[in-house]
Amino acid sequence: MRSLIHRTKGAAAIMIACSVLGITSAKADDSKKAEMPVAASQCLSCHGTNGNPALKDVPILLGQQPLYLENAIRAYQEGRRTGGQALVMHEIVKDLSDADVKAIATWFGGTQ
Amino acid sequence: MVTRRGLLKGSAAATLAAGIGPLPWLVSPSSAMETVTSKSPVGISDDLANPMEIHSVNGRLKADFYMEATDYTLPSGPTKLRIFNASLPGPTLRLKPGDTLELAFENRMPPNKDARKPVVTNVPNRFNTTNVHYHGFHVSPRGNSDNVYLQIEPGQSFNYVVQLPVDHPAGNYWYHPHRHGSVSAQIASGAAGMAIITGTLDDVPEIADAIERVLVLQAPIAGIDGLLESEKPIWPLDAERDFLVNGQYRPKIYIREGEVQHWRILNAGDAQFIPLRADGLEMHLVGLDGNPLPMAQQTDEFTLAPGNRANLLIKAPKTGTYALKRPAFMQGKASLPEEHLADIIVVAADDPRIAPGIKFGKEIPTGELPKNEILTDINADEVTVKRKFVLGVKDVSGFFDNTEFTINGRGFDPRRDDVVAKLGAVEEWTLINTTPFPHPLHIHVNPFQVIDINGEPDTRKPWMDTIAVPAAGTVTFRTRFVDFTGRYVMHCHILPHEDTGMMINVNIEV
Repeated sequence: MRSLIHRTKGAAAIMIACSVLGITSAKADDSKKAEMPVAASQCLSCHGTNGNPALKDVPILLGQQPLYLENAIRAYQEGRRTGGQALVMHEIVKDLSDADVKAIATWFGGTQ
Repeated sequence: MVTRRGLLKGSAAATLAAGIGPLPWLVSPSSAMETVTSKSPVGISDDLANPMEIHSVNGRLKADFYMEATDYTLPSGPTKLRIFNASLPGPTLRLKPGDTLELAFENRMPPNKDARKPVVTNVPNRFNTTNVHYHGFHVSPRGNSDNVYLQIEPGQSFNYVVQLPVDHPAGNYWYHPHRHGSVSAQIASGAAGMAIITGTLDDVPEIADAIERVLVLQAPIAGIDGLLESEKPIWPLDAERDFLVNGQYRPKIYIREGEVQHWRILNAGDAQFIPLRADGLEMHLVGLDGNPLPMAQQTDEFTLAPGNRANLLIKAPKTGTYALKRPAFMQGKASLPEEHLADIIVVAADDPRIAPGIKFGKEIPTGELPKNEILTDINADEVTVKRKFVLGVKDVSGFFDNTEFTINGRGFDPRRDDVVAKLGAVEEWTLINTTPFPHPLHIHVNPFQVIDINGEPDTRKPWMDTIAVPAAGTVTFRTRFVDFTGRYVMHCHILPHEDTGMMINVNIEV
């Protein structure tokens, strides 16, 4: 088994692969029905490669309602959810475009 | 099945218990200090010994120190470790507020194998170049004081003079090397020791009545063929480690039925957190990073991140053998196994092996604990500046494991001032961890008061100098920049993260 190295390289590796190949999406894993949007790669290290996280205090995104996810991401972006872990989410999503937000919400919501 | 590794672990424990390990450090007779030899506080031959101590005398502690590649037998076999004064851990320094610490330090390590290669900042390098940091000390970061920008090369000597203020908070501190690029290799080797500044909790009658133990927890890593020359064995967070207590593998710790002992515990490891349990015994926390909690707090488990210290009162209700354990736990996304750190043997109250004159504490303090008077609560209306720091990681091709750890998107740059503040400023900092692993952040020179973790207020408002920012979580603390101008650092105390970039410069100006 490959040992942990203080970080999750999988997400970054996916992002790099996409950049190098000049493509806009990639297969997250074989069980996914839809292609993962590139912007979702930054979510995977905490929320899990399939939206089901290893961290106990991070929410499961797998199968969540897409509209709820979209609203939540926008609330983090605009600082309407704030304090504690919402500050982490603000840093992660602050530069996402509207299209990215919709794509991420749809993909995690549709991966069940 | 008996394995070679198992045999070595057994023989190492036996060898160390028999005192046939490394020779004890010999003290220069000209030094202005007193020494206390390494010994069991209860006087039982196979009891865990406290590390040897060096005490200040008449306001001075003057001693010779060196770092050397020293032969040592770890549970995994014989190796060479970069350690202070041929001792694992290093000698405990015991000082009083207002004392002057004078260390004549010598780097006796061999030349760096990579001496001809250019140094690339945030890539581990030159493991035999070093310096000494006085972790948690509120002292000047300049010149020959707690100056972590010094580079003491093999063969060079340096005289440290560290002046403690007369109102310095009492507590548990420690010393270790802090030269950027070689910190993780040297601390993973075992280069560390406790430093105690006496007072405050020591004056609580129930604590003064108790036997005191110093427990330095370390998990040294050997090189593949002797001295560690690569970052690779240190880097995996879940690498198999053999944890040592005061240099011993699974030592015995004796305590009498009904007795309360005062343990000063230091996680001097380089990367792994240490949750601690002693099931069957009572544990009462009275201090974190040396500073008293408001009251004794009974607990079944508490966690020391790398760099943290705790004052623990441990009480033994019944005779028997108990285990001091690190339970299996998740350090962020890393699953780390249970570690059996020591056997705690509770003997009869009148065990004849313990002399009648030995201290026998029996009580846990029930009222408010005294405070370090200089550390008064920082209320919101005192704060002059708020800042945020985002902890992250990025890919950098050509760096070690193509990785650079970052604060606010940038790796460490010794030429850049990341924070410039005025002496006397009172600031509130929020640390935001965007990674799935916790990062214990340590700031030099000035301690801080923890306000909240993940937005939840810490009602104890503890004063600390190292705080674990949870995976995908936040910490807010407040701090006063007082007494000392100059540059120093804040960094992750998972030392491979520090060496690969998770550090900033703080410059305090007049």
